[in-house]
Amino acid sequence: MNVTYRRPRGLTTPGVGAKQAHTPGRVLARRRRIAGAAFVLPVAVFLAAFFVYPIVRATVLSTQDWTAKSFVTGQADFVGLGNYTKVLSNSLFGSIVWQTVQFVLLSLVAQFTIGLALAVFFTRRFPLSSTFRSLILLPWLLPLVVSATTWRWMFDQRFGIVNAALGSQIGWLSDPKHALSAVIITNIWLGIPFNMVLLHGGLQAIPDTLYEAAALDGAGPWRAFRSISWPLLRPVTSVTLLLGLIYTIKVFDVIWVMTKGGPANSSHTLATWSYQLSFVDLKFGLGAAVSQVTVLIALVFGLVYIRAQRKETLS
Amino acid sequence: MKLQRAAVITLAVALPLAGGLTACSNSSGGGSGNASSSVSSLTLWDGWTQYDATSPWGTLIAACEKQTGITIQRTSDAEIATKLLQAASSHSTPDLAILDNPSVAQFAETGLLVDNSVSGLDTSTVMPNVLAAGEVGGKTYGSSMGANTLALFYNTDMFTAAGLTPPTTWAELESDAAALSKGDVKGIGFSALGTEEGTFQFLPFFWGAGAKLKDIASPEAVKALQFWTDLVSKGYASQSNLNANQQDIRDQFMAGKLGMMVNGTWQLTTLDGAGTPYAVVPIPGVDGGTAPSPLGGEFIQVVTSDAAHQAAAATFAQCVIKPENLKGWTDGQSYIMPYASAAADQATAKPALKPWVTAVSSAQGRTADLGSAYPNTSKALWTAIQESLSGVKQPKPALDAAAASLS
Repeated sequence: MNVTYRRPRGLTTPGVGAKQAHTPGRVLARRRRIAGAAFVLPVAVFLAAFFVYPIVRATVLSTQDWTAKSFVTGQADFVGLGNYTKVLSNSLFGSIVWQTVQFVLLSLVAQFTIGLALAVFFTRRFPLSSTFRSLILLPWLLPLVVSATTWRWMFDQRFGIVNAALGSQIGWLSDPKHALSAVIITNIWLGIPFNMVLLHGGLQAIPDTLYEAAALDGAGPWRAFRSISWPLLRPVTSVTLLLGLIYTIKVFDVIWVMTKGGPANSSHTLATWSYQLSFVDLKFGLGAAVSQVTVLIALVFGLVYIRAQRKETLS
Repeated sequence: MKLQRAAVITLAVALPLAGGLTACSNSSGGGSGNASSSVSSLTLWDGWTQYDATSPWGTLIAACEKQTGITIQRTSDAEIATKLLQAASSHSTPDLAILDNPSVAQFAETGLLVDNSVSGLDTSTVMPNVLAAGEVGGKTYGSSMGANTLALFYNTDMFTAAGLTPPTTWAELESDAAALSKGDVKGIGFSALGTEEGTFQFLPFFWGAGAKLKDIASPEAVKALQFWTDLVSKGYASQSNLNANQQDIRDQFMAGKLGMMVNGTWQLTTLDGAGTPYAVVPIPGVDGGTAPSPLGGEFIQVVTSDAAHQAAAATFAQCVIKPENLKGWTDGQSYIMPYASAAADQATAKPALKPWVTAVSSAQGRTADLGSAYPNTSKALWTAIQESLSGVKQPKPALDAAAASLS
């Protein structure tokens, strides 16, 4: 048998390539490995301390009967999936999931559509266009609690400006039939600037020459939007929607300030419910179980997004 | 070069972490291990972020620092309950804590509080119905820093114009409210918020009908909820009460949009400043008399630590609740003194406080019957209130479901 040692092509590093390892080469290799590990270490420590540990802790918490007393004794009974079965069999669970779905979908669709329309509108140059564009960013600049409190006043049943303008007596925040709509409307208003900014940036990146060529070929504005803007905007669109989804699933402050999830639990989402269970009812195990369910849902969509991304890069 | 930078980053990340760890282990316990009998400095936590050193509360602390020779390190956090729990898990609790009275039972049960028989805090002259809010399992925890409760405010101008007299029964309350409801004015306002606040406001009616917290689906309870529901459905009270807190209700009353409101002593200062013509009567029971209203106000608590700190904390707490020291604070808060004779003196000095002294003397602690089970019952109640007032359910099915959720 004839064995020839051949150095793999492209590998020029002497320390690794030299089969007959000499001591200096081995030392160098080890040093490189240590250097590599040292480079990764800060990130690893950061991830472990701020992501892995909280997630593991929350998961453990969701399997414990953690009450106010547990803080003092440090002891909590292990209940396995008991918290999850309690949450899932809670008569509120179904309706809160449905409210969350409505809240997320309606917010997302409306924010995106209006944001896109405004982004397209502001690609034109006209006097004061940049001033108006900055004005639309206003909801984004205000602290959420301020915006939500203002909307709470505007939606007041007896003295709010919304009912005054409509000439109606709708209990926006005090009627279980309308409370969810009121918080969705507020959340849409809050989310428009975010969508507009991202999509506007995406539109700016599309070269003008394409539109000029299309115009020469006789394409109208609608045709140009459908055949140039929309397809070229796709990567931005998917990022915007994914980030929007994650932001919307975890929305808490708006709902808490406006309705505290009421009246009669009609405007709770999984996020506010989880807060209520943990920090108002002090049932931390149940709250953690609900938040784990929420994280799981966000994770599923995150994976779907990564999958779609990968397909796009492959094709 | 690159390696160095990585090392710097590693250190930058690792150092604060390590620092955090040592910080945690250093601050364990309110000075555990320090067994010297003369403790000259204590930590105190309260929820009154709005009061600085010049406020009546700051003055009270300063006075007792002088009298006891103990210096106080005060920390204010609006979320004091959750902060205390956090501190308990990292063994960094304060020596003294000011807790809202309905949460005393829950904290006592965790073992975080020292009962008076151990700490030596003397509460023998405190009104028994007030002190009951701090009683759990036969032991008393801490003492009242002044009591408040709910009563019925009415707009005297509107009552005179309509030729009405303050109600003494529920029937009169409803007919008065009906007569006052005109245009954008509603007869009566109360907070039916989906929080403890909603239950708190409902309790005078709940107890006034003869219901007990141990049976929230009793016929008396249904009667009380039916009364509130009728006030809303007949248009004498607004459905917007479902999302209004007690400050919102006060604002509507001050704007002249409410003929009557259920509210507490702590609104008096604002109301007097606003110039709204008003007077106060106790909330009537269903067929007359004064309905027991829920007790409000905070308790000062000695928190578990070593014997020396507990003794010093009790000494300081004793100073705080001494009637002559407490007076400036209760006056500033429009609270009622938790001592019968001092409360009577308050009513003599300021006749406007008379209905409040009456109301406090018949007030009940929310946790007196249920102890630490109260928060669950309260949640069940406010859920039923919201369902019934918004028309999702009738009062009886709503309360039946609420009672079922507790079993």
